[in-house]
Amino acid sequence: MMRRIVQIIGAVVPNAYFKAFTGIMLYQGSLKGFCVPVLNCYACPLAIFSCPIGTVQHFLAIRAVPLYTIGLLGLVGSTVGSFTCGWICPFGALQELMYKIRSFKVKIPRRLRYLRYVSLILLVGILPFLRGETSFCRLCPQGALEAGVPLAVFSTQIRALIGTLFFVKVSILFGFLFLFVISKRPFCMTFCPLGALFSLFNRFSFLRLKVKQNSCAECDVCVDPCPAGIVPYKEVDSADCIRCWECIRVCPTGVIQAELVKFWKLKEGR
Amino acid sequence: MKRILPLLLISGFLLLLLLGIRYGEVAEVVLNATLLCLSCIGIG
Repeated sequence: MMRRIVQIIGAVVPNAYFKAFTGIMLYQGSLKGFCVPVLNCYACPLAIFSCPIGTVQHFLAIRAVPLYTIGLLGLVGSTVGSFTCGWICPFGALQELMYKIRSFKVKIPRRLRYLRYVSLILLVGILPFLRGETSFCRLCPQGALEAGVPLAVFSTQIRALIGTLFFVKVSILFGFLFLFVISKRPFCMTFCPLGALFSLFNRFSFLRLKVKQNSCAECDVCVDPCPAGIVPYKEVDSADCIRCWECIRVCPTGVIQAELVKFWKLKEGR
Repeated sequence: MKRILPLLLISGFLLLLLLGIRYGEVAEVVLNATLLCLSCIGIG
């Protein structure tokens, strides 16, 4: 419940420019200088902060080094790892909500999880640098949901400019929306470059998860609630873990713990 | 090492962040984010 509340706050706070409803297109203030550590499109009329992935691409596209954004993302990653994916990301929350819809369910093959690193290196790193454009944004379903579709619906000027790319983006969005219903966090696990970046820090971050040695009964109670589709007690702090702490919440023996590198014990299961 | 590595990483990235702010990157971030991103909308 606590995580749901934080996820709602994580969705509302970065998108709190309610003046957009009165017809003013984009927030132009200084808060846009701050990148939120989640995927949140800055072309969304409601957005008051910047998307870190869009910002990194922009800097590479103009052949500049994004020191500020890399510093910010690295700081978040090395402090809490993928914690923001599990607790704050609005697109992650949407995926979890849609997975609750009753339907047949499919497990994402492990190999596909490496695709997000391809997305990070190719679409966020190499292509923007070589082509001078924000390549990931051109395909991003989050951008289509938050910016493309609302602007196309409410702005006649934008609607007049719609072409093939828009329909490609919307098709990708609808493809993912379908996948959200049948599999656990498919966008995070296969396409999200920010999740890929944060996942690299999971083993080295200040905040870690720990399983008490020899105490786990391997009852698998934590497996089904895990939104990342991993076996928490076997893959604690793996790159696929999104640090949602659902495993800590449901563990009947309390063997999984979150701690700040040997200094403090933060939260312990029952 | 397990204790020192996160602290080293945090210090290094904090340094990058401060360097970015020092070189005026925040203004560029604001400028970029306040212009309508055509790629994000899908018309670029």
